[in-house]
Amino acid sequence: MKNLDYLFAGYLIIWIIIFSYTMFVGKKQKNLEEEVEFIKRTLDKLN
Amino acid sequence: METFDKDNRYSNILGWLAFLVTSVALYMVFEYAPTERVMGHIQRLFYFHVAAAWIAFFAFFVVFVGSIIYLKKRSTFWDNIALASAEIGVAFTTIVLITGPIWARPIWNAWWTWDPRLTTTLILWFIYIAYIILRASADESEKKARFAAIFGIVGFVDVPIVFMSIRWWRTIHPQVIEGGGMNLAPTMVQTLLVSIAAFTFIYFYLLLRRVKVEVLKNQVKEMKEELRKLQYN
Repeated sequence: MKNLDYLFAGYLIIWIIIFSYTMFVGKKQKNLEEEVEFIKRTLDKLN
Repeated sequence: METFDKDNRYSNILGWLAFLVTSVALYMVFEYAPTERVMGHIQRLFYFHVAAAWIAFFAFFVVFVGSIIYLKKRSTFWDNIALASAEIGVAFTTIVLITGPIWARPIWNAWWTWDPRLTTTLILWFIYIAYIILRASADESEKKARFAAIFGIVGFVDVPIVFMSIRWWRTIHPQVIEGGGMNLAPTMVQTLLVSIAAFTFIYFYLLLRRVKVEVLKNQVKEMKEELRKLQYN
């Protein structure tokens, strides 16, 4: 059972990278969707 | 909001598929695949390390193809695909560059050696980091996309060099594919293939979402322009 700490560290880092990137993209998408909705409402008011 | 919900539905389906295949892959890595005789449990890191490397290569190939099509057709769609794929490729190359040394420390007794495979992979990472910095820095979007497309095509040259490095130069990096076959037990090959499938689903899930971000960015830009015109009139 030797080197299990290395194995654990390796898999932990893999999922940290994937989840961090997914969260980063998700947050960016959510902010942009909100911005689009806000501008859309402003445009509707002005038209 | 309805349009966004519809778009998000497709990425959610892909996300759930990625989750399912990844769960199967993890089960196979830790339960199905046998423990390697010499290296022991640390060898189980190999499945996702190799899968990440393959997906990184594939992602950079998509950058290469997307860049060529962009230069031919000047289509924003392919420019977005290339940018998104480059970012995901860098994420997967980062996984390769971190899990490699974690495996190497107990096996080679060193975190890093300037082995041809390791060195060319590090160069590959720097090339696409430079590509992303270029995308973020240049001013005009048309000019920026054109420069990036040329960079994306030239940068891809390193991918076959990374792949062939263990055949062209003397190396201590393990050679999995040799003489057209794999130096692995059949259960290990099956586990590796499912791990590659899992990362392929994750790649397409991330690609879809990242491209959506670029589409939204363009939409915001156009709407702001329209808003500016309305305010001045």
